Amino acid sequence: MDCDVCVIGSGAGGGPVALTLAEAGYSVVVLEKGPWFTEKDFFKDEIACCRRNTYTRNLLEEFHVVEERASNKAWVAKPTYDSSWDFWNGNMVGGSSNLMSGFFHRLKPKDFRLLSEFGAIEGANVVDWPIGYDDLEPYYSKVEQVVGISGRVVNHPNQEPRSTQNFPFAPTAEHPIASWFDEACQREGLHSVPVPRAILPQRGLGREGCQYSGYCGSYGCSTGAKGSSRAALLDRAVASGHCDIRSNSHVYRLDSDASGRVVTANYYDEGGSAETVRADIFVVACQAIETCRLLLLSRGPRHPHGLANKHAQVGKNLLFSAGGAGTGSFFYDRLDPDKAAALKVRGPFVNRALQDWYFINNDEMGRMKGGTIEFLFRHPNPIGRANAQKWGSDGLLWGQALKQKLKSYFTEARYLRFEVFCDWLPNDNCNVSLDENLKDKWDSPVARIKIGNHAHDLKVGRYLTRKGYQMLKAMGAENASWGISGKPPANLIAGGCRFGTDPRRSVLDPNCRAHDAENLYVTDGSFMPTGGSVPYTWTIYANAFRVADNILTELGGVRQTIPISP
Amino acid sequence: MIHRVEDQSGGESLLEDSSLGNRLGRRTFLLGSGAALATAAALAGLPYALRKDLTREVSFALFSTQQRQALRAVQEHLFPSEADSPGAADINAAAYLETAITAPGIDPDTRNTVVNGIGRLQDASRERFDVLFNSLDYEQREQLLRYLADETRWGRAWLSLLLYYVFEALLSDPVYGGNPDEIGWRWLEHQPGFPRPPADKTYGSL
Repeated sequence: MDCDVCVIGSGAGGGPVALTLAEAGYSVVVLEKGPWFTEKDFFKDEIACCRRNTYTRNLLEEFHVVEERASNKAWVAKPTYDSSWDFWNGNMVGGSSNLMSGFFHRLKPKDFRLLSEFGAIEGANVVDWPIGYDDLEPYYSKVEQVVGISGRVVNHPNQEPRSTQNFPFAPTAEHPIASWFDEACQREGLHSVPVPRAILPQRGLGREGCQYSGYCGSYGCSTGAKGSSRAALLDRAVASGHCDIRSNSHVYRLDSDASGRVVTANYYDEGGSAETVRADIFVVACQAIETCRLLLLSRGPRHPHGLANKHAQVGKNLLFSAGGAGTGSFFYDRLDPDKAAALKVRGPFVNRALQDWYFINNDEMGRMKGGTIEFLFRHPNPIGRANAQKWGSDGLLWGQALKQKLKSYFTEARYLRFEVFCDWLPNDNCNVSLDENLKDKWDSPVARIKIGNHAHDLKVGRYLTRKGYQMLKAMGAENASWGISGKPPANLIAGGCRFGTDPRRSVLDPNCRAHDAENLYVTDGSFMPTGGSVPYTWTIYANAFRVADNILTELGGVRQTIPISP
Repeated sequence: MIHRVEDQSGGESLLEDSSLGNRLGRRTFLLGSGAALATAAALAGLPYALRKDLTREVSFALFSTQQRQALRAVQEHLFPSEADSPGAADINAAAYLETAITAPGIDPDTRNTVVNGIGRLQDASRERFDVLFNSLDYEQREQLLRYLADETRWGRAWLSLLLYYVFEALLSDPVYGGNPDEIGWRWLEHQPGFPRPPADKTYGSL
């Protein structure tokens, strides 16, 4: 045996397990396909960050096949090297949590029992979770302490119950526009929700605080303030002396024995040679799509159709986040000089959301699940912003017309955005399978992602997006616009290995152990049967800590070790 | 988060400037390009090894003098220097483009699209005016480029791609060779983030 526990994937699902078990004295090997960057490698460099594939795979070498409905309703499949899709969200130690914005929200108690609370929806596979909010609450609290979540609890109608009164860290510095938002909420009778962030406002937990450089989402954090799995958890796990992180290690198959137990992880190391890790327990956390793919690729004597896939549930009920978005302009010359100067401030965060319609109950819509509206400034990346200006109403712009538009766009206003998060209903047209024809550079079949959305999502998304638009108007924004879509944001992925009590209808048991492979766990967002209406990361962290505690119990608790004298 | 949004005019746009996502989709700017689309279609479905062979890096002196002059002239037409604002000539746009598309790891289709576009431009210039692009006067250049952008799919994609690289030369960190003395940032009153990338930690060396 090479180690007690082998964790595949080092993001928000893998980090809590590695930390918990390594600190309890168990030997942990983490296999991560991407490189190991640290704070010293992260700069505010739009080219490296956002215009080239520094943090993601070369799509000619590793890609997905995406199947979606064309305008004539026929399903059309295309590899991502031939489309604008890219489902790699951050292949490196710590995963995409390095690049997140860290908008952290808990699920609400009713999110754990959508079927019971709101009833069935035709064409959607809505189920209750096998655990309740109370089971996860202690771990939401733990994440606040361990990952480091800053914020401020206010009383609002959809505030979820908490076991602690407030956040362990005060909110990050807030932009003056946050108070404009609060004032507009007061006028409109809405409840301004200060958004908790996985960002340390000042030094703490052995990490530096935020520098407020104004570039956060999409960028790796240069100070360690952002609570990535790497900065917050894996660095500590390594420091315990019991965690070995192998970067540039691409796992291509898990082997299982005649009893169905997983025995070996097979991977290619940085030089491309095939290596193995043997362990007592295997934990898969590669983000939902690649987790499903790895299980499907891992056939064995007891798993002829892929690991834990006895009832053909692996890959089913893939989730994204539904919703819409909008933008409004605040022109400096329409404001008094003090307000204009305040608006120009760069760095601090907006940190505001609306959850007044997290649950909807009115004549217009009836009683249904709603969602969250998150407010933020348009991302400052200048190349991306400039490129978005090149199309005019009569086609491509250039020359003086283009330059005047750029000058005006960059210097005359600030742009407030909102993004709507609502449930992506699980359905039979949204899933992951293995593509029958195309293989990646490792000669493994790539994941085929079928993206079908439920019409109900658009209805809810439209309702919330209009509310966001009205909020922008209430704040005095001009040129406000909004849009909705049935196409998912590629960075909000969950489901595909839902947990449940019935092995015929779920992949994992309530502890996220595979129903039919006793030493296999899945701890990324794959376990979620329904997604809730917030970004997933906090819930993934919390659940992974919960599962880690269960694994620890199974292993016999904290291992008594004999201290080694220096 | 990258939300794909159908805008109110009914078309689909990618609202890419957002909380988490800001990557330019690999082929977003190539869609509709005859060259890239044809290449992509030809490559789709081939086994990995064959596709890799077809798209393998070839080493050659990328542009002839004539091509280089044409590219420079197009860039300067698209993004002219003015008394109060920098143009392509002021931001090293030509050299930037050449460096960018020959960098290791850059999609060969992008490189091919840029190079093939110059040939197509010259064909169109000869067809309409009997001379190469650089021999055209300002009005003829405008007329030709407008025709290519409005009436040809490859032309629209090609010019859009050239503009994209002009924006990179204008607004990327000066460590990459464009935006000298932060001239682009100063013009647009853009405040860069920090820490800024040192020369040994840029794309390609990470």
